[in-house]
Amino acid sequence: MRRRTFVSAVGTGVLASLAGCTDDGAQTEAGDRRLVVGTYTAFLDAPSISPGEWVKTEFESEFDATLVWQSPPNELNHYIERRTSDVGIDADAYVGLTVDQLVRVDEALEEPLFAEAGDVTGADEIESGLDFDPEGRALPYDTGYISLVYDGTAVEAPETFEGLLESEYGEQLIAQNPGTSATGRAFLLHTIHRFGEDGYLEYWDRLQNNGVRVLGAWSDAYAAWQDGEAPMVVSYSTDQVFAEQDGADLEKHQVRFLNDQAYANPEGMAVFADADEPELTREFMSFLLRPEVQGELAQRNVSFPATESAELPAEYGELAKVPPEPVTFGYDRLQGSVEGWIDAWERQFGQQ
Amino acid sequence: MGSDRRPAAALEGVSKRYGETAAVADLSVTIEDGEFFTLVGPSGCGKTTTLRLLAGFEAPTTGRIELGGEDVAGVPPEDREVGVVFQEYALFPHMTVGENVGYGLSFADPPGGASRDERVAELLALVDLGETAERDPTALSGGQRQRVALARALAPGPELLLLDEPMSALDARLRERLRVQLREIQSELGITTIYVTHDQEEALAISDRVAVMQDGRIEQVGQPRELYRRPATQFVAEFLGENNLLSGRVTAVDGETAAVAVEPPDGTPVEFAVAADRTVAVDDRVFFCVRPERLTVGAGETENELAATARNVEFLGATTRVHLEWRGRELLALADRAIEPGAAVTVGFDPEDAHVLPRE
Amino acid sequence: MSLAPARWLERRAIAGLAVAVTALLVVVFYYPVGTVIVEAVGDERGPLAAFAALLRDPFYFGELARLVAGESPLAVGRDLLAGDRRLGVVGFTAYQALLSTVASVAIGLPAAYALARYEFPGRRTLRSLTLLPFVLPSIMVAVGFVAAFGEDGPVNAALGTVGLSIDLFTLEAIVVAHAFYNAPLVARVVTAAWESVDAGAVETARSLGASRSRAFLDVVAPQLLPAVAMGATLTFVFTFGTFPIVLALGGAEYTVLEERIFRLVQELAYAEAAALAVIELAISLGVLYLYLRIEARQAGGRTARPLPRRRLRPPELSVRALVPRVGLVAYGLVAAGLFLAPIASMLGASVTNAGGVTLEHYQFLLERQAEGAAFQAQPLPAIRNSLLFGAGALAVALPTGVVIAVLTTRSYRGRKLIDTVAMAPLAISGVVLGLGLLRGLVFGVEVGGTRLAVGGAAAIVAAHAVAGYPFVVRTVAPELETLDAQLAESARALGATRVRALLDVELPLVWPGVLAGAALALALSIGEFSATVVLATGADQFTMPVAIERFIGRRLGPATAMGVVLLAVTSASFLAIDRLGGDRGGL
Repeated sequence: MRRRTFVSAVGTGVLASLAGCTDDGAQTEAGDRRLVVGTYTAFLDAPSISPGEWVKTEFESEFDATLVWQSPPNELNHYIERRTSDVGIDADAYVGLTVDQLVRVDEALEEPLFAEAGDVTGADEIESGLDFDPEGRALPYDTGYISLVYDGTAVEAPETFEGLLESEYGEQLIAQNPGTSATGRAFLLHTIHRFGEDGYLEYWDRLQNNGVRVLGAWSDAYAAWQDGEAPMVVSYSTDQVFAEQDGADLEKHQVRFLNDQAYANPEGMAVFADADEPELTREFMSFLLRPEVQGELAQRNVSFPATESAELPAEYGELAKVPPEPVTFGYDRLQGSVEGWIDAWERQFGQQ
Repeated sequence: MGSDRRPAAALEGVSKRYGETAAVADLSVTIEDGEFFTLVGPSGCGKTTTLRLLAGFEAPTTGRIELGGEDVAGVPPEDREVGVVFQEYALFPHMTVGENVGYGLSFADPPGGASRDERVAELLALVDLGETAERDPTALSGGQRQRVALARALAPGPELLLLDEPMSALDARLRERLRVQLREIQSELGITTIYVTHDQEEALAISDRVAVMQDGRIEQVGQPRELYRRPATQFVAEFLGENNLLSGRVTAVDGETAAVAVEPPDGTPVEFAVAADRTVAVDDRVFFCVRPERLTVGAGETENELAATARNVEFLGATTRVHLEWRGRELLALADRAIEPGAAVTVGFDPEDAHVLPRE
Repeated sequence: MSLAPARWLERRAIAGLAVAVTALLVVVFYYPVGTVIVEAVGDERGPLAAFAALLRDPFYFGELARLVAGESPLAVGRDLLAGDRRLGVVGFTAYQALLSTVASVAIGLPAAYALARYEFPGRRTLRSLTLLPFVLPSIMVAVGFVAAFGEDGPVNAALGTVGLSIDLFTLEAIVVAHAFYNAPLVARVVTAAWESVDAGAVETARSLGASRSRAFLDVVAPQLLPAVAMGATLTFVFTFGTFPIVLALGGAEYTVLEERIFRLVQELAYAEAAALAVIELAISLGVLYLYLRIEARQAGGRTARPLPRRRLRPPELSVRALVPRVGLVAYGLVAAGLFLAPIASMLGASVTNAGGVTLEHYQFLLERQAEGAAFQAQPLPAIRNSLLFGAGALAVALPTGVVIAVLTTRSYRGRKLIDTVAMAPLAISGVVLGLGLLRGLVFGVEVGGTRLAVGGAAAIVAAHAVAGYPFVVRTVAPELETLDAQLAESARALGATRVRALLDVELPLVWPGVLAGAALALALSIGEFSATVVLATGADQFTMPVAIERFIGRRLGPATAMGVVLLAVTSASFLAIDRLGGDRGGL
């Protein structure tokens, strides 16, 4: 029996042209039109924050179309690779685009990977501070704020970046590597925003001397923080939402906005330049910007809506904290700089 | 393969080179059906390589090898119908004695329509190991193991039996006993056998014919008695048995006898009469040899006489070995009486007991 | 001489397999990797510019880079001797790999001694489970280590009382976690070698008057040394080319080569990434080549009679009987702390949440199984796939490894070089291989207007097999090499084809080596992640490690629950193979 199963499993796999991403034939069940959307894996699979399934069900129930999710392991780079290897892009849209990714796309490719969003209903509702693409291709659909999360029973986090340098906070903070983690990158960019590109390395030098731990991935850092390795961690300002779900003591999940700021990390969506279904894709983008979808999406993704008109329950706002002053770098500021900033940081911090 | 009266094996101009060194150089020899043929020579002479070429473990660099009249170039060992026995037995340690003997029967039906078990029993009986089929080969003695290896090689009924120093790992007494047994089995089965050894005594004792090898070449091929009595080269003369080798200049030839003047280190030439069984001419420089057992002790008994001094005497039971010094040269003689070391001894030989070697 | 078709095939089996193996390696390894490596010379500044820039960069090569840049060797030498010398990324990577190797050998050897030389309840089970750490995703190990050895961890508290505590986020933590992965590997290969030592040879030495320790030094140690060297070499190569543990338990202060390659590939800086990967590959292959060159020829042939095991319960109360046993028990306690504590912490994390003990994480697995969408990872298909891919990979890796072992144990010029090249799948950067598989297999090549692409289960099995066969080569080849060549020749002369002689005579005699290689290849397949995600055509082809990665969310509970499933399934399959295979069948 086992042999038979194995042979048939082999049979289906050979010469499958769609290899490399989760694009399953079984997803094609309703309608003639087929919308293929690429995204990162957590959007589909993470136990607590995967809105993908809900989005698919809702979208298909309303539109006479099938939504097929793809989640290639190397995310957006997969599509850049396809383009540079001259293999056609087999998706219509990408969901989960960040500013620095867009910068990378434009530096790597001569021909545009994405088309302009064009006429998308609801796009005018997007908060102006979140709009990160000067060429109007990417439309933000949600945002997160990267801040400090700390165990209030163990420490009272400092109010400012400078406060982190105080000796009482020595070996008290766990951050992430900006090269390998989105939160780490946001926190680094926040320090650059605060101290300028001439000053951030000195700040980090002092932070390193004060014993900051910089781990590779957000999950490594958060797990170490939860195990009590240090009372403060760089994380999301929505931390209490999860804490509440877990039944944890909220006192142990406090959020601190340094200098009353937090770095905003808007996530966007864009239509591929050679999409098979550009019109359906735009309908899909409009769908995601609808007030009720925005609210639901933010809650399921444990993030914040991108539109002013989003419908969110009031109690969500009590747990998901919004900074008094969100800061972020736009496309133009990051273009040509971000990689150099990270590289310089790595060379300084990881010098051995 | 193996129809009657065709040579069982033949090598024609066979060479085997490893890089710059030639293990076997331009070797040609024919082995007749049913013959017990021995390759003998010092280590490194190419005898084992020759055997491996015959078995198909190595391919010749040049030349042609025939088995049963067929060219076997490119034929792998498993299709050559040869049985091989190695010095270290090479029994399969994870199989019982019976499984070892029966292994070759997995690939060929036992000859004569016997069942596999019958054939295994038959061969174990042939080598006097009837009761050992279930035993672990590592539990057997060296001699027993070698007989199992022989039974294993014979089980599929090969056309040719190749034995590579099969007795070198055994002690002398056992070796002699096994030698007799091997020859009996070979005669009984009538199987063509090629035997490799470095032991000249063993080669002479067991073989129908012997090939003496040196530096990848055959020095001489012949029946043991012929090789012993009429070695073709100085190497053969000295390698097979013991010999007294003298050189000199031919001073006269008279029919079947020649006079050879030997110049010992101390100067004065001495003339000896030797049987001129080769075409020799006056003034030729020649070697001749006299076997120790032909060097008779005692004056007035032989035509040629030498006055020597006994240096060392070994009593061996049946005979006595006497190391002699004759005018600065060492000679070896066998005596049937006691001789005191240091005694003056007259030894001599008849012309027909001296063998003149061809010029090299 | 007419031959039956079966025999005709049999005669060509080795050659045929060699061709098939070569084709497999070209398609699944050399071509894909080549598509990336070639970028190293595709730099617009000139073919070797990328290398030149790296070699002159002190960030990578520390003080040595100054030599390349043309500084005086004297000045550089003086600075190298100074306390604050810079190793650079490459130097540090090698340094931590060296320390990890020493630690792995130190921890692995006593385990091999206990498993090969002593009889005690649960020995076979323990041997079967030796390689368990090998299949664990690094995130699980990191979680386990932080929980067990962290500030509040139970183990560190215990170890602290005897002054042995491990500080997280230090080089020490990296080295210990690397030993967690690789000491079992050392133990496994050395156990196999120890089980192949001929009892007769030891008895002969003793009968000739050698003391017990002298017999060990003269007879046993020379036969173990190649296995120890091999375990050490493999450990070095692995820890030289990995980065997740360094990132999770060390921190950004510790930059290693593979992490840089990962970063550069992410940034699409392919020329620099490929050049670094070539440097990494060259160093790893250089180490492997050195090992193969100095691989001591073991004395004596193999026999079917291994050394008898002693009882762990001392037969008498003498110093000679007690000292090794007390040592083993003490070692056992330390090893249990090192290996069991992280696993126990993982188990603990899978049944707790902020509120206390819970089964909600397992509940999540059940729900995902019952209601998950087609594009989501599901536990049961993941279990099925892991087992099927593992079995398939083993079925390909075993013959592949054995054929390469056979081909590299023949004597011809340059065979050590070929042997080294055959080890390339061990030494290649995993990041580069992943990108290569995407380009070379998933995207495929265009031939005459049609694009030939390979993905899915067959490609995953092939990739796992290519990753695993070097283990089989390394555990089988040295044993084959010491096997008396006349055994196979005897079989050939008796009518066995080359492949029959291999199957009937040679492989049974090197069976412990075959099993050790098979166990490593299987464990590698079960734990493999990066090639699997690249090649999977859908969530229905995900394996357990992929499911674990997918289940990592803001809470680690569901991922650790899946990690426990991975451990349980892997243990069960290793134990089942052991029970089915009898004493010589256990992996």
